[in-house]
Amino acid sequence: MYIKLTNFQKRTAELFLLSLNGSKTSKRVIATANGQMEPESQAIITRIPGGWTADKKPEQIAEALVKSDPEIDTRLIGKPVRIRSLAYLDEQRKPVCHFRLVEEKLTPEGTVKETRPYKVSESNIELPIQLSPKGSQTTEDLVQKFVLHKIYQVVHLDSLSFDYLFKLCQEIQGIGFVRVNGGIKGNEPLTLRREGLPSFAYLRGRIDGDKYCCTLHLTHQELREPAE
Amino acid sequence: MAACTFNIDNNKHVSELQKVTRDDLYGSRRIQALDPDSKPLRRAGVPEEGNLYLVSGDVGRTMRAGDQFTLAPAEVVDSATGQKKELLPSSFKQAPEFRKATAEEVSLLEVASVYRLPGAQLSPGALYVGTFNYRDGVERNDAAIVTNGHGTFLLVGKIKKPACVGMEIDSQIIAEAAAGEEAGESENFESLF
Repeated sequence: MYIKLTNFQKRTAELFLLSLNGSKTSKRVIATANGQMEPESQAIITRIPGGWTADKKPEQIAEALVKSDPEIDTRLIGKPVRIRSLAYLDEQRKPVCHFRLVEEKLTPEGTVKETRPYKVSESNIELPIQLSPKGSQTTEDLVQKFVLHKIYQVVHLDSLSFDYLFKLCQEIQGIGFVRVNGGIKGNEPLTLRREGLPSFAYLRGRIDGDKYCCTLHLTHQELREPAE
Repeated sequence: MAACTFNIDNNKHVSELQKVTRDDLYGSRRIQALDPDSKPLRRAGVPEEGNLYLVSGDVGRTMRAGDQFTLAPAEVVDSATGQKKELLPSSFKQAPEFRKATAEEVSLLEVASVYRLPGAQLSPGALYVGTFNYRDGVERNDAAIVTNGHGTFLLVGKIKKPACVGMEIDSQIIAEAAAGEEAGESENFESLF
């Protein structure tokens, strides 16, 4: 994904965030009459929607089971299915047109702490993200304090952004991990995707001859034990 | 949770694993749909035919090979060679080896799971890297053991290896070609039409 990064001198460049996930080295295969094939996962209906016992008294259930196999509906069970849209159902399994979405925040113990109307969290990387003069971490501190859940490589798009990134890496190489913030004021954690979790971000830069290595490290968890 | 033995710097440490998640530390959140009377509603999927409402548990998954459904056992092979991959034992069966590491190495671990190791007796600030597989599998997960003021933690994920990047893009090639052209060559305006 593309980002705009503002350096300490308030200069901004467009750069690219490269995910460092390598390609899979293994795959699942099954033997068929036509040789080995990679199987595909297919969604199928596994039970009668709503259950066949719904609205039935125990004696009606028993009678139905004696007479036939009501739990097996050969028109439905095993039918491949592709979900196209979502609906919300009431207790009678009837679709409801008028509904509202709320977001419930729960404590670590599982009790509801706060309920508020659901609002989608938008990505905040359309605006330039900024290097912060505060909050830098040494490598030792960073690994002792935080859990890094995602690492991206920051790469240039053209010769101007190459020069920009090379100089930036030169500048921050001795600092360790420099805090990067988003938002208009440059004081928000980064949200890379719509509905994504906000994360604190740290930029690391190294140079080797005429090459550079710039990585963006994201964290949304401290390295500590839960409170008793 | 079952105890696991770790060979850390040639010393055996036995500890139980206690998983630590974001939800355990900060709580969690959930999205709930409510009807006008504030009664909770159930989320359902509508298939492309539009004639059914499928809730959690109504749909399962099966395997398909081409047009046929299959129950044949799947085996894991190497993507490049097609050779069958050996199953690696879980770290609970085979004690994983950990060696001393630098903070630089640990900072490149993209963490997927965190476990507390209450039984490990390590000095604060100690960093180790190795591998850890919770279950039997075909690929090893990278892991680090970090001790800080809160205890000893096992971080499991993948160590990333970002490579250094140089200036190797087309714009330089174009620049060289342009410089190689003869200077002072008169412009041919007819070629513009």
